[in-house]
Amino acid sequence: MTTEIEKREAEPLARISPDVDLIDHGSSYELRADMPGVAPGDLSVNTEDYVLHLSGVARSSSPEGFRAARREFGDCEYGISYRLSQEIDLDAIQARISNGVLSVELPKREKKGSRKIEVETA
Amino acid sequence: MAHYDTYKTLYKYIQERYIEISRQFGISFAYLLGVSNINASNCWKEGGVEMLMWPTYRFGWGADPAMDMGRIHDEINRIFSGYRGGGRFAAVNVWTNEEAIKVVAELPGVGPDDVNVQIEGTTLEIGGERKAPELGDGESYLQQDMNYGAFRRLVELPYEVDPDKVRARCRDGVLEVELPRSEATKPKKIAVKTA
Repeated sequence: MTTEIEKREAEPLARISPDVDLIDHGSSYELRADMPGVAPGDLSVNTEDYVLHLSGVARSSSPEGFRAARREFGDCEYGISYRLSQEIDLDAIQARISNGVLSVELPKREKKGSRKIEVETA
Repeated sequence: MAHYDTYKTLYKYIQERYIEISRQFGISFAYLLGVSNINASNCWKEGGVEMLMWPTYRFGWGADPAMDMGRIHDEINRIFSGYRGGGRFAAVNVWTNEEAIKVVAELPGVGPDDVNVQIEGTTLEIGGERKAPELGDGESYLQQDMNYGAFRRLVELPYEVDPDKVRARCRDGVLEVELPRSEATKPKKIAVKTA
């Protein structure tokens, strides 16, 4: 016999693409995604070739013995994927989450043998 | 083919926004829009849409259909942001029973020091500021969805609470406020005697 709560837990979660800020820090990009309610353990950040997948599950289980008087958000899964540019150093990507904001650091690869060519006037 | 994919993505995106709105305003709003049968599980059943974008878009997106999607994305955000009542920031859930009220608010990027919780009569005020990251020279935004600055939400409580017993805590960008009912307004049980 499954309870109402167990039934609901088993349903697929609403998928939401989070609000994202993308900042160019010069030597790296920083991708920030709003994921309120996502604990560090419920977060997954991974790359597949040059595609970055971010996902996090937010569960705000309804408190026992209470009824909802107003419901503006529910349990959901935040998910978004980005195709990364080849200039990103995949091995150096770092992620952390604080106050429900995921921050992914995408360091740029150092450009090998690039140099500026001066243009002379004739 | 590229066009088909773009429209498919756009359609999915609009569905997703409808879900968000109906989530916030209750299903009646979705009925008004004639999308009563849309729910999250329907929309994502087909495997879900991945929004693929190039972080380096300022160097030119060229033929990438995602470029147009980025613009449409922004446009739809702008159109729908007007329907969000008190602003999309600080979505609130309110739970009640006879003994206490629980108010839960989504406050991503807001720590305990940046939020104020106040009670006046039966009105709970959640206010504060979401601080934007400070950028130095040579640093710039390539995309900005997040809203920064001051926010304020007022929540009308169904009964008076005991202000001294109210507890609030922030975790993972979610604020939880517990408000026990004031003793004076608690319903009193009256024993019925037999004659």
